[in-house]
Amino acid sequence: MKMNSKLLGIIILVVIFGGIALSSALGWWNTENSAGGGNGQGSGAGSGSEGTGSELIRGRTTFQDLLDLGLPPATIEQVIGGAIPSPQTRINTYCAQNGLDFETIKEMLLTEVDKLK
Amino acid sequence: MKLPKIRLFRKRSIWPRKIVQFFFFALIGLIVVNHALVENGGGIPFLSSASIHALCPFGGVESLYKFITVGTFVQKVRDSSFVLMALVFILAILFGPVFCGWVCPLGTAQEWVGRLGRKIFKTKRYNHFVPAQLDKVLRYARYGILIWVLYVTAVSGKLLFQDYDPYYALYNFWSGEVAVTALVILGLTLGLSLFVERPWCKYACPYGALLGLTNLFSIFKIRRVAATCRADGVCSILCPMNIPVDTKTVIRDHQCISCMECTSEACCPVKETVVFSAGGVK
Repeated sequence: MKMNSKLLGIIILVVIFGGIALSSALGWWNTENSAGGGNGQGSGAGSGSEGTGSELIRGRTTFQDLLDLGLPPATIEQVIGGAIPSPQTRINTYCAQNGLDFETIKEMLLTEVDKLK
Repeated sequence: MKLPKIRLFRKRSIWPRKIVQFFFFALIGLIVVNHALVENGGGIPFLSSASIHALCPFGGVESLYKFITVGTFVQKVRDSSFVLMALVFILAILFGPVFCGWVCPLGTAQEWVGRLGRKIFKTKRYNHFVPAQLDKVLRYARYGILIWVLYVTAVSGKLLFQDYDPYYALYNFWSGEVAVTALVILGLTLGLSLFVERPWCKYACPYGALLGLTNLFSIFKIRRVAATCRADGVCSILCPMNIPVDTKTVIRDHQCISCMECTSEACCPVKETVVFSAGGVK
């Protein structure tokens, strides 16, 4: 059985987008993790990536979001090693500007958030 | 090495491949832009705002170990990466690494730069700069990189490869979040594409290494009918991955990307001589 390029192109598109549509219908297509985490009880393994809470802090999270979570300003300043800039500043932007590793700071802040519970 | 004379009887192209490549290149670009817009309170309606990690099938591969042992994903990897990994693997079992030849935006970017290189150095010289012996050894480097990536990801639980990944750099170079190493590797990849077609795919891509293995057992393969073959070597010279198609009857080379550029539909001047088929051809 020979395959020509037109048919192959169509098959590639059908498999990829058909597969996405099918997985979406089955509830398997998830490009975001639910805020606040959760390990997907009842929906099978695989929903959620890093366990509870890891998505509380992500690329778009600002210092204001941390304050809204109830984290004291002093704790935040202790973690980042300096004064909180404008509360609307994103944490990852702050890290990039100050030569800090966002993932490390994120883990430390998450630890502090967990202590609030 | 003296290269055989090339005579292209009529210029043809696998144009559906070009369209599919452009489509995916543009689609991923738009989604990346939309992701940034959504983070800033805007966004394009009806278009996904997924992160680039959520749309990378290799993320699923990187996460496999953690998923099997702990039941969770590596940082930033989502369910969608697993779905895409499965779909790409299904395509690879059927047709070989069509993801590399038809879908991967980094491969597309290298090909676009390569067109300029082909114009500069002409078809005979372009893509034939690396000495054969060195080239042969270098082509196995990507398996070492694959093992390293899987190991460091399994140990750390993080996408450490992101700091070296030219694909991530290609779509995020403007964001300020890309490591210098990734930007340098992207620059090197695109720069080398002026001399060598798809240098990243040939020598370094860990996902290409994995998908390339499906060439050994995929259902559809490139096949050459020796009886009608003129042995003019055009297919071998124009193969982006430098596979000596004219010396084989079935291409099981781990570097084939199923681009079909060697077939009678493209460069081979004889009809039905180099074909992409399942089972033998008469």
